[in-house]
Amino acid sequence: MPAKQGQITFTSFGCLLFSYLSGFSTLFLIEAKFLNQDVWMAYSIGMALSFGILWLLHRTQIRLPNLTMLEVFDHALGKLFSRVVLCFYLVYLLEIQGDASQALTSFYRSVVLPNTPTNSILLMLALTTTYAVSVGFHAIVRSVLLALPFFLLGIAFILLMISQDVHTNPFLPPFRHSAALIGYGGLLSFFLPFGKSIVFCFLFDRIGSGRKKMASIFAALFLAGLYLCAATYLTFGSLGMRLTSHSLFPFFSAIQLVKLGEYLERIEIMIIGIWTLFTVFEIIVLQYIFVQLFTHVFRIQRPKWFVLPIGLLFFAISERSFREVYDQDYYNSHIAPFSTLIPTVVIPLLLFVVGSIRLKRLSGA
Amino acid sequence: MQQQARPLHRSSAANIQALQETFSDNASFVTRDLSCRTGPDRAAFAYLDVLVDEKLLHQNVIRKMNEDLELPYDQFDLKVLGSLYSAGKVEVIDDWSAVPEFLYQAGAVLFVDGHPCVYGILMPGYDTRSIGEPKIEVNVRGPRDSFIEDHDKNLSMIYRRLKTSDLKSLSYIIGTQSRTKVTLLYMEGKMDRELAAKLRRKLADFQCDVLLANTQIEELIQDSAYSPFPQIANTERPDRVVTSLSRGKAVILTDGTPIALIAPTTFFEMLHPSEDMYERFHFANFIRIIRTITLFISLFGPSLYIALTTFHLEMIPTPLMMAFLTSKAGIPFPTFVEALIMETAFEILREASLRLPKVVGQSVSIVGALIIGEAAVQSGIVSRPVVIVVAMTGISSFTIPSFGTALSIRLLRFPLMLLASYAGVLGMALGFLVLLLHLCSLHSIGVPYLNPISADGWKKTLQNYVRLPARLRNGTGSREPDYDKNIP
Amino acid sequence: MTKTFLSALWVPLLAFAMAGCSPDTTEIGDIALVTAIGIDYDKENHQFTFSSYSIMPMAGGADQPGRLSQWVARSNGGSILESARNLKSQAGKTLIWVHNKFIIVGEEAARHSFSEIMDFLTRNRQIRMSSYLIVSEGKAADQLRAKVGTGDMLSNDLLGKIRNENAWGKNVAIPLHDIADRYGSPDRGFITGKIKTVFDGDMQGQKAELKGAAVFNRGRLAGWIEGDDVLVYRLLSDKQLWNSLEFDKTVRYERAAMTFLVRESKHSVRTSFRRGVPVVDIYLKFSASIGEIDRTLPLQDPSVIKQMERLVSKELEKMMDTSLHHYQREVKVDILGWADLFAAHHPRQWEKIKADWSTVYPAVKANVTVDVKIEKLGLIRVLKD
Repeated sequence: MPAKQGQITFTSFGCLLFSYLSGFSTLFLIEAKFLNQDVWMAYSIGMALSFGILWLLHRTQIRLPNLTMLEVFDHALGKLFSRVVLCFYLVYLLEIQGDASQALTSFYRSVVLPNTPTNSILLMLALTTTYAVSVGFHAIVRSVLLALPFFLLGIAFILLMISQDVHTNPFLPPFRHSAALIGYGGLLSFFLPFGKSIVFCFLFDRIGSGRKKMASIFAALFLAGLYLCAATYLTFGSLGMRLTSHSLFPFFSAIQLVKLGEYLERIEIMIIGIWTLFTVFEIIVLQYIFVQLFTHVFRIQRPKWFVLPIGLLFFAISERSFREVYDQDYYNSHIAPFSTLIPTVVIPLLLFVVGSIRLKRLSGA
Repeated sequence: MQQQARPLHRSSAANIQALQETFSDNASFVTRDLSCRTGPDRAAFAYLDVLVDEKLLHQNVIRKMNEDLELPYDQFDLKVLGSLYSAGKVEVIDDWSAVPEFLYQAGAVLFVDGHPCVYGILMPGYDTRSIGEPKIEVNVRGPRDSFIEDHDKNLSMIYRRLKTSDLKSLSYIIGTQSRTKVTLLYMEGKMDRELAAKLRRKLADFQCDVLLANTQIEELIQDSAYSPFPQIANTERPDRVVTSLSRGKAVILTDGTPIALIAPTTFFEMLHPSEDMYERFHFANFIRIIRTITLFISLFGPSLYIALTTFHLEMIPTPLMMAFLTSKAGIPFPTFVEALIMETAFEILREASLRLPKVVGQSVSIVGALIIGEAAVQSGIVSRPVVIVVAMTGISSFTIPSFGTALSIRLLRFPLMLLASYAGVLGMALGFLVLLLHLCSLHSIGVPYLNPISADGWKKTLQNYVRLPARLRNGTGSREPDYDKNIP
Repeated sequence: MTKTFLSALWVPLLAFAMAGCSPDTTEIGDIALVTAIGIDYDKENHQFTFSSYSIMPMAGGADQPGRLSQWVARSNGGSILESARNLKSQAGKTLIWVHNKFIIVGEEAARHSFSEIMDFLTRNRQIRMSSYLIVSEGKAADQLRAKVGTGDMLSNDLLGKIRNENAWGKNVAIPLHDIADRYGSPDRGFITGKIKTVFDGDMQGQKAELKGAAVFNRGRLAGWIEGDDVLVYRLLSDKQLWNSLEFDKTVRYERAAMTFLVRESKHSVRTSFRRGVPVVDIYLKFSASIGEIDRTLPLQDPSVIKQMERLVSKELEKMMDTSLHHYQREVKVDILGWADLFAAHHPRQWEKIKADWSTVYPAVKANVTVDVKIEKLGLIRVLKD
């Protein structure tokens, strides 16, 4: 099959997915706070579920290998119904990006810049992400590939330094939590961060079909999970279980303890800078996919004109979200894990089932 | 001076007359009659005496012609032309508009009665600079010749190094009034055909009045006019040109400019001087690491200082903090303003030193250092740490080999300082991200500016960070990988 | 077009972001660096007293470099945060807490309002988790006014003392994050460093002494431990506390008195249940070097060296047993965190004894085995009379 214009290699795709998942994942460590040493099970559930859903979407997409995912939706579900279904994804993307933007802003305001207005930070974020979307997909992927080695180096260094502070065994005692609790933790970790990878199905046409695609997705999910596990367990070991459960940003607190020699402390600011970049990459990818979906759903001929309005929409949505101090926590633990099942599980399953029936007829005919 | 678009007369006298009218009020225009014996106006030379080597013309051409004319001959014109052809390469011009242009190219034209055309022979006699040592791209071990303003000598330097017929050179005359000669060079089989065709088209279609420097050509072929980063490399060294040609790049030489343009180029090539090729790979890699560090220092130095000292005081070690406390006490300006004052002063000093006559250069630089260094600190205008930061930043920016890239980095420091003063590390991170995205979206005549990052093959990608030992390097030159187009 | 518009949009944003527009900037010239704080509590009046020890810059002239001056301030309030804020009324400069290394909690505050103090410290973004929390005998404010023999700043002096604890072992400084983690457990207790002022004749004033430790149980100050008890705590605790520790031990061999410099090299604490009884097996390995002998000994004889090693082991075991007995029977607080070890390694049995841990703990059987290896003899081999 000849390579289409505008395609990226499967390694770049994997790197993009890894960066997308890793930016935000270690911020709150919500599941770790109540599952403690058994949290690896929740992460595994989240990873497995994400990979399964992506595999289903992949199977659907390869029935019509020369089409984009959006066109596959149209063929499988009919043009009208697929538009309705894609609107769910639009709402989902707005929710997730609002969550990410507000989380980043609340982190900065809690830790670094307490008096800076929320709007300024959100506006700066929105301008950056809109500029990124306007320069195009290849520029985004290239910048991720450029920034990733620095991120990996910094994180590896920090994890190594934290491991020297570990004084308790974070894996003990194992299996002390009920299956229901672990299931709930799995659901939470599927919502954040692993389930967000479902929207990458809309980028499948960028790398063509093939087994290497699923291999790169698996590698990215696995490595993101590994990083998350390493961060979580090192945090347990250095801070202690109780303090981890009480801290708002446990991984950040663990990084605060890193000391280089006698006097160089609190080097977390440098790591935060790099880590911020990757959270912003997540919002950039979300915004990019939103632009693709939006132009497809509303049949827009010139997508370039809508990049800035969509950026402003993103700013408006995140500015209006989570206005009360408890809203975000409540949303992350009670609302979102269930409401986001529709675009991340129900619709892909629907697409797979309906697609198997309808598309077989189409591709067979 | 209007070119008369008409064919030439058969009569050489009429042609000379017409040419004299064209070059009226031009004191350099000279005519020499050859036909004293046979009668006037049988044949005559015309040239511009400031351009043509008159001595050579007289000795090699006119005297020989006169000698030949002394002997018995059958046909006057054949004799004259025979002598002319033996003197050098003769160009036959039959279009009137091309005659003045030929004169301006340091040519002498011969009008022969009865021939409706003109015979031109090039005899440049103006002085050009001799080939000297490079001023900007200096190195220890490599060759020491550099380009000069004479286009042909530049071309000869390249031909002496690349002795292959694969080297194509296409000439263009650009500029309706300057008639500047521009040559496009590339290696057949190494350069992408589409890119070569694109460049050829652009050069052929370029219209302007006067082409003085190759900046205009750079503006023509670059992809983005608004980007602060140069997308076309320039060099004054022939060896660098030859290396680029062998890597499948195109080179543009302009008459009158001692700098060659190289396209396409990537950001990493801007950071690697030719020095790296001539040293062993250990040293080359060590210096590359240093250069990467200085790149970051020159870009982020002042903004990092501002961010740390105004937002992130916890990151500064406590003993250093105490030293900062004592040095900053009593300084009236906020840190950002201090840094801005010092940076501006440094830029002023740098600009001034460019235009200083050599005689006073040394003393002014000492005065500048004294004023900025000691007096400003002691009078309490700025604090010592700021002076150190600014000095380090300035010195770091001098290590960047490409002058254009260094200039753009100097410029980009200021917005980053503003961002750091507003939002600390968040501002710096976002500013860096915008810069990174901009670099990733840039193209150099269609080739992505940070291209090798997404290329296949670890060797190619790695070679942009480190210089591999000879065994691991790919063969001579490499085709550019497929060019992704920017599709949002 | 979008790109150009966006690039243009950054320009007014940058113009807006001129210096002084950010509300979070702090200029170094305007700050006072707080390096130690003290929190006291008056139970009768429900008043907190917040004291701070700060370092301030003083501008120098054209020929003089700037100097640092020290400043101690104190203020009261109904809550810790209120009293900390009230301090600002006395401050001519912005107080910066991020370089604070010491939090000194007064005795009364530690007994009656430690939970409030912990909440304040862990919630505040400027307080470092790696700063040391030390309990003072008496008022914390008095410690901050103590004189320093070397003339150095108090915080530097305290920092130096903590560094030197690796050569002595009878004092300890625990960072805040460890205390915050242990504080929340209902079963185990913890210790922190102890500071008190003593009168110094040479200086004609009070000087601060970092010696001993304060014991906490169920979030309140429960008592003090001194001397060898602190040393044993360090030897049985986290690696950071014993890794660089080198202490002296004097033993008698035949008629000679020998002093060794001992260093812990290996450490193993295992918990188990034997016939329903919780047992802790402690194995420690030390390396020793001879510091001083008061008469000639045949050090070349391997059997002599072996005997010495056995003697030192016995001495160390005795020291450990004494201290463990003290913790279990007299102090009655699980300061070594055995509750956490049992909970981690034997969760099911732990659930059964968890509720009665305060009565079970004194009955826990602790078996200590010590191995000593003499590795260095110093620069001379034998001392002749």
